[in-house]
Amino acid sequence: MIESVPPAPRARMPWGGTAAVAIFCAEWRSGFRSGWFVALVTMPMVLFVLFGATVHGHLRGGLPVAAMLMVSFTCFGVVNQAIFAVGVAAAEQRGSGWLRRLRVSAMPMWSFFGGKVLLGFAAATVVLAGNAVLARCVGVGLPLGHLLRLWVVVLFGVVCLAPFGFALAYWVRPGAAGVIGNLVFLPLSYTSGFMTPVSGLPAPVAALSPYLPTLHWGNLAWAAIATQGQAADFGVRSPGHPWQDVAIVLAWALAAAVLATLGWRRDRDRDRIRG
Amino acid sequence: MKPMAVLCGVSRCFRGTTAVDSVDLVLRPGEIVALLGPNGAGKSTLFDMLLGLRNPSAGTVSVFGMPPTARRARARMGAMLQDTTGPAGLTVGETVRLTQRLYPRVAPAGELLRTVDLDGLTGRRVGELSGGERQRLSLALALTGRPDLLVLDEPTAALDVAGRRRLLRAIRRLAAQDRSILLATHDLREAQEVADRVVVLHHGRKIADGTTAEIVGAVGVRRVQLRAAIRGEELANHGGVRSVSRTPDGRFDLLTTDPEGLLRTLVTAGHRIADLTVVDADLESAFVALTGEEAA
Repeated sequence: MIESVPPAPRARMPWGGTAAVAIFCAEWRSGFRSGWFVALVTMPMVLFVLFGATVHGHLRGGLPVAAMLMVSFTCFGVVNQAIFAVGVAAAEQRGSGWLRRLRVSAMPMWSFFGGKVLLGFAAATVVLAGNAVLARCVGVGLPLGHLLRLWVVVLFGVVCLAPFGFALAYWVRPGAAGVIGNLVFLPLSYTSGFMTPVSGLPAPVAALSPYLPTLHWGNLAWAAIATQGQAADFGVRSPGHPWQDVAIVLAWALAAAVLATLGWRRDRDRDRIRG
Repeated sequence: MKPMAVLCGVSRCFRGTTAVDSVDLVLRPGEIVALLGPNGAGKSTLFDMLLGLRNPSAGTVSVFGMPPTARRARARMGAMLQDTTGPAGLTVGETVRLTQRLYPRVAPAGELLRTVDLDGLTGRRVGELSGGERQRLSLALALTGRPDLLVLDEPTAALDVAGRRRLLRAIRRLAAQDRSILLATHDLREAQEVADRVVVLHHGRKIADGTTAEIVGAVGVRRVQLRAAIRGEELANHGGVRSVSRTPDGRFDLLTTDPEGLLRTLVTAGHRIADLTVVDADLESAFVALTGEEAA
């Protein structure tokens, strides 16, 4: 048996988290320079200003309707990030060969996924903070405790929705990712009540809502600032206890993660003869 | 010398087609190995298996004594791949610095960019680079982790003459530092110029492995160019003739193992021969004789 070259003097392998942070910083910088990322981050704020901030009315207990709409459009923004900043962007990077280059580097692949999740965290935080400031500008202020609770739910959403983005990235042809992303995102957001409360959806559409992970995650977000009664007044349809929503979201996230892993393996082992 | 990488009986099949068929390959320190073969010969598939991007259907791949997918193995390898560009919104300098964060030991960014002659373009965005500049950036990224084993897939494609010379000089310098270098190329002159050893793949099989002189000597062909009033098919039928083509000036260009016998046959048959040259074969001639195909 031929022995291999003795290993090089042990240099410490960089922690995968360092690589994840480096990926996040690079994606953040690249995204903002490209402009599309700015659009993704600001769109939920623009939509809130146009369709939510000026809505008058209060729910029982004095909670402004505009506050609930602020949550809706923040959720819209988080789903937007998961599909486009994570999914479509990763699909395009797959097509450009960048992911292939990362695979042959010394970086563990989880660092790439981790970097994308960090990007989601940062973008979602910007969206939430922006919407909260805009809400305050129109006299709809929320207690800090409510905002912090909402922020935790938003970060939970980023983690659970990222696998859907990765599944999209690895199952869809890079050139078609943008179109598929829109076909997934818009119906998902609409049917989950992020554009109009679920109670206001056409009956056939509303009937689909309970089966969607985004609806259940949205229930958690609305519950972060509203009581059950207030949420019901707004048109939220919850199965009951918030832990049921958590369980459903986690189950969907797990299924998406399995699908993403299978897609990653399929891409890795793609039967494509190359000269 | 103990090898850097060992591929032992490696095969890869795709839906009934064998892309790589029982290839053995050893890469030693300080050696530049050129991997040649027509399109579809299996070069890129072999690269993929060496880099851990694809699992072999049979055989084993060992890099520094480890599977190529091991993080420590990848930390000592550098790969210059085709069509792998960084995020378009990042600058050249930022892409190099990002790659530096991925390796345990790295070369300074300034040194890397000077090596590939991109030090004047540090602030240029990747999306704005020309094809040759992207190629050079790809080499810089491959060198970032101070690799002991460097895998280059057609490194001089899209480079101009000066760029090609610079790159080949850089490759020789790296080999002088005991790095092992495997490069795939369609340019036989380049392989002859820079490689210590040449490996030829054809239909997934290794059909030659040795120095240029060994391969040319083993094939035993010589190049005969002549003008004669005869059909090419008649020449091709002569025993020993491996290929028949035309030179730009219209002469027959033959590779044959028996030039004397060929000429005797033509003279005996009464053919008038003009503008005759007989030269020793080079790597290109040997390649054509081995594969029956012109180098791309």
